[in-house]
Amino acid sequence: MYLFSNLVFGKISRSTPINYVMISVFTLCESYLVSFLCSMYTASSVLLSASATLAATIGLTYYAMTTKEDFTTFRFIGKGIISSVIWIALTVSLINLFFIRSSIITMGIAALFAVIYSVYILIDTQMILGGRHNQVQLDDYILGATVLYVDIISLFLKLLQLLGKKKDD
Amino acid sequence: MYHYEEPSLSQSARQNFVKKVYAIISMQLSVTIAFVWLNFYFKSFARFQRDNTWTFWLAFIGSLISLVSLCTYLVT
Repeated sequence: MYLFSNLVFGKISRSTPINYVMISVFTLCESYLVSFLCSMYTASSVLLSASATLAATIGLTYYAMTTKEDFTTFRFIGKGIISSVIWIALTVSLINLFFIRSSIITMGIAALFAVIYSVYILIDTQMILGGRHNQVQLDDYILGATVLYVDIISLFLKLLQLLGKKKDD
Repeated sequence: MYHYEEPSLSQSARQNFVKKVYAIISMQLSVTIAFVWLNFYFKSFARFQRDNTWTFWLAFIGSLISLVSLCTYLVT
């Protein structure tokens, strides 16, 4: 049955021409979205957020490589703190969007999500580097790259929301 | 994706994999940086984006569909 399902179904991320097409489409669309969002902020604040993201990513990658702590066991995600924190944060941000409209709460939620995306970068870096409890399979290079790319872009957008200065016009 | 493999499988295979993944990520980030640079360097591109909000939603839907499709199975 397992063999049969492997014959009939193939992971899109593993079938060679289509996975590169899909990751290219995704990258182009995501880049367009990011450039659209960046155009609302001043160039210097975009540069500042990009530098902060670069520094954070390098630091987190170094920490993920050297620490003995194993982040791939999902103690933090599945049954742990992060999932409940995410749900509470989403609920609070929805309430804030429609009723309270406080910019302090918006900024607090953005800061919280920046921390959460940093944890995701830690986890996904360890998943890619391997040698831990869980790891990305060797055939899933497209999936691994996409996941870490999404983490980095999300962290950048949250930092831009926190540090960015809106254009005047 | 999240499967357990023998850690001792092959160190060099894992190293090749890591190189491949980070090569792909750096290409993706270069594309993104190029788009942002275009936006700040060419005012006409920025104006086009601002005047055609539908392109934002097109890119939004396109990125959602391609991201979900990368995580699903293909019937052949």
